[in-house]
Amino acid sequence: MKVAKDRDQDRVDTAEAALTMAIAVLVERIRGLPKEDKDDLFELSKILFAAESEEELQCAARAYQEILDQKPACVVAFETKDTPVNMGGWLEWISGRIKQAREDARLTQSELEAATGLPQSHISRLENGVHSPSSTTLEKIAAATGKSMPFFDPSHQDEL
Amino acid sequence: MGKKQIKIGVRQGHGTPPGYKWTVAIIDVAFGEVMKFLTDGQYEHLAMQVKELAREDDPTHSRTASVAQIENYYELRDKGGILGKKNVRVYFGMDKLKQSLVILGGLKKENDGQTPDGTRILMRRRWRKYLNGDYGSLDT
Repeated sequence: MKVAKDRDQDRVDTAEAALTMAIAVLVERIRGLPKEDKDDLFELSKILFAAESEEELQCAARAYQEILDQKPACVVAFETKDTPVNMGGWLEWISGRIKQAREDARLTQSELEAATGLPQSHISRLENGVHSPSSTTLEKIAAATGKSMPFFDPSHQDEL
Repeated sequence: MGKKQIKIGVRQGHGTPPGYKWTVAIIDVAFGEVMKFLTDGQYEHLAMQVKELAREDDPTHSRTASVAQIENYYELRDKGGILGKKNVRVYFGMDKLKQSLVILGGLKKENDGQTPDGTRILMRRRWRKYLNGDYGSLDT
């Protein structure tokens, strides 16, 4: 009985020692940070304790970790492939929808430019399947052609 | 055997006429970050939005995409379409001295709301470190 009790006490002592060591390492690491990083950590600590959603908590924790890690990073050229990536037929589908919407509304590309503020060259590239439209672009085209968003967006199809 | 893919950078003065007005750079950690939640096709879609911004005189007032300012950097917002139910944010800074857009990171949000404070601070820090030269530059 006494042996089991001693073992439990040993476990508690070990856990406390590990916690003390972890805190000491953390304090030492924070001490060595640049002042601006310390300020960020201070701000993040308040967010961590006040977080009202899992998303807020995770984002704050991720930032906290990156600051403590102090891993080196570098800036590199932003590169894209020279041949089109397979977008699962998306470009072909959406380019057809945009052209159909414009023609249903009896608008030329120039008239659609005037109605949406999107450059005619941009509209042309969309209809030729060279560019993938943002949600902002699709909303502008939908408003100008009298179509609803589900017409352009498979993720809205359940609203049809 | 398939044709070898060649990667092309986005550099000021290059690209199909009228060409890019801005060079685009990316912090290396940002690439791994966005590829955790994007498919190749979705990455290509967002890359196209970024390239479109690089064609604009003022990418912060884009006619083709939703761009909003956060502190001293910006976020590109997009959702739906090829992104499906994902609500994605891409954060970037504008280095006017080098005429460069610098991609700082990305986030898959659960809703349409504003950028979580933790991410706002993280991106602010990355932008600060870029400006301090801690990440080097494309020229070095």
